[in-house]
Amino acid sequence: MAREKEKLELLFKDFRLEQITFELRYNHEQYYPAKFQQFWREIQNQLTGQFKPLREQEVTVVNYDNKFEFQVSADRFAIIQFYPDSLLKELSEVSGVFYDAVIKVFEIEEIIRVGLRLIYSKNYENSVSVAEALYKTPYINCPDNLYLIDKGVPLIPTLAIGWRGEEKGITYRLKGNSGSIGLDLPLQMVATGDYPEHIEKVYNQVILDIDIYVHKPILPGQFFSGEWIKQAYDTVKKEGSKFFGVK
Amino acid sequence: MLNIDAGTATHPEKESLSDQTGNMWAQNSKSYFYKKAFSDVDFTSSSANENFTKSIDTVEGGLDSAITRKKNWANDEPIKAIRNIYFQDEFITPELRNGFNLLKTSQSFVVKALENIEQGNRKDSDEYIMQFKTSLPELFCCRNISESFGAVINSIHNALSNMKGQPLSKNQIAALHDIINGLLREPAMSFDKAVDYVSEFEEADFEVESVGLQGLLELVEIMNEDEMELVNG
Repeated sequence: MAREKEKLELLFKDFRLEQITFELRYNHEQYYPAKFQQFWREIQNQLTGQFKPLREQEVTVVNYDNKFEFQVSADRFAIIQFYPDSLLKELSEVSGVFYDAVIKVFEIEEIIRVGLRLIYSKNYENSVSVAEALYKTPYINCPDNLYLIDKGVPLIPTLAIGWRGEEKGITYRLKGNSGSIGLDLPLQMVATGDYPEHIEKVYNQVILDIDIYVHKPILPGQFFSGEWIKQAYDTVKKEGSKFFGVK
Repeated sequence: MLNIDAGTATHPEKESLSDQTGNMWAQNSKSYFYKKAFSDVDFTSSSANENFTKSIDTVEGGLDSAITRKKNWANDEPIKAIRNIYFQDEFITPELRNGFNLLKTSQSFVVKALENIEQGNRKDSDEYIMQFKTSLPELFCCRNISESFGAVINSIHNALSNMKGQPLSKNQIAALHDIINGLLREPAMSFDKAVDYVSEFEEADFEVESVGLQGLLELVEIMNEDEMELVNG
């Protein structure tokens, strides 16, 4: 029983960083397609990897080297990376190139918000374990098994707590994520007999979603994207342990 | 003294105005401000002219601030202290950390120089400027922080070298103080902004071009003239 409890306990170090998003919002009211062309030319001069345009409407989304997703629109840009390296070296480097290009091409005079969103996950065997783990956080005091409704189906809570100072803020969201992703394979593959008709991945996870941001306007000359990302990430790592009750 | 709060001239529907209407609003606001300036000045007093000039300055300030507020959907002023943007007391990147610390030390020397010259201690003031000068080569090594950072530090270095040991005047120290403060607030400012800062700095009787470079440029000019003479026979 003691071992079981230990396994269920949520600790920041047990979470795996799945996705990181660096986002910048700015005042740029008009949408000029020519500016976007100029912007992508500027980026392609600096980054030599492979670009695959995904969709282009009011927002341009590009896959870069199967590692990053870049999103650029008239009032914001975001860089998303899946399973980043532990020091966020690649993201820091790429964000610098992006930041310089956005400021230069869109002639940004003021940045309205800068944020770093980190999504961590921890896998569990089933949804009951997910619920139990969430009910064991220091923020909830719930008697044993009270979270199980009829037929043993668990109620999975969502927790959100945060702090918002004069310039900066941080929000933690903790939630359960249970479900499956399935795919029917094409007949050409199934007919060989080597492959099943259907493949499926079942997941039962606790998701920790952290958003750390500056919400006051910033002058472009005050901001060093690589430095800011490193500091924000260090803060998340430090404060993340405290979130789960480790001093 | 006239004191206009920018907020009092805020159009109640400014949030929903299009750009074009926004400009009209700005123009109307401007006339409103000027009207207010005229109505608040007592032209019968002996210092009427002086008061009026002050009033116009205040009006322009009030108007600028009102337009900035309209432009900014968050209705917030930009963060003044760069430290408030970041999460740690010191920068992690070594170049930024060194550059910023050196800049802060340099600023304290310039502040002391300014205090001393205001109290009439020219010698002490000059000594602080000499101390400030010693940090310039190291600051120049941090020019990778931004193109503007390098350009501003280079201009200050040239300006002080071109003084050839002459102590700086109060006006010159104040200009030095302003440019250092500008760099502390926005170390990666746009190059255009850096040029504006340097031009303002130059107005305090500083020569910001390198003497060596000036000599080289003159030499090139002479050579060009000689060449032209040869071509023309």
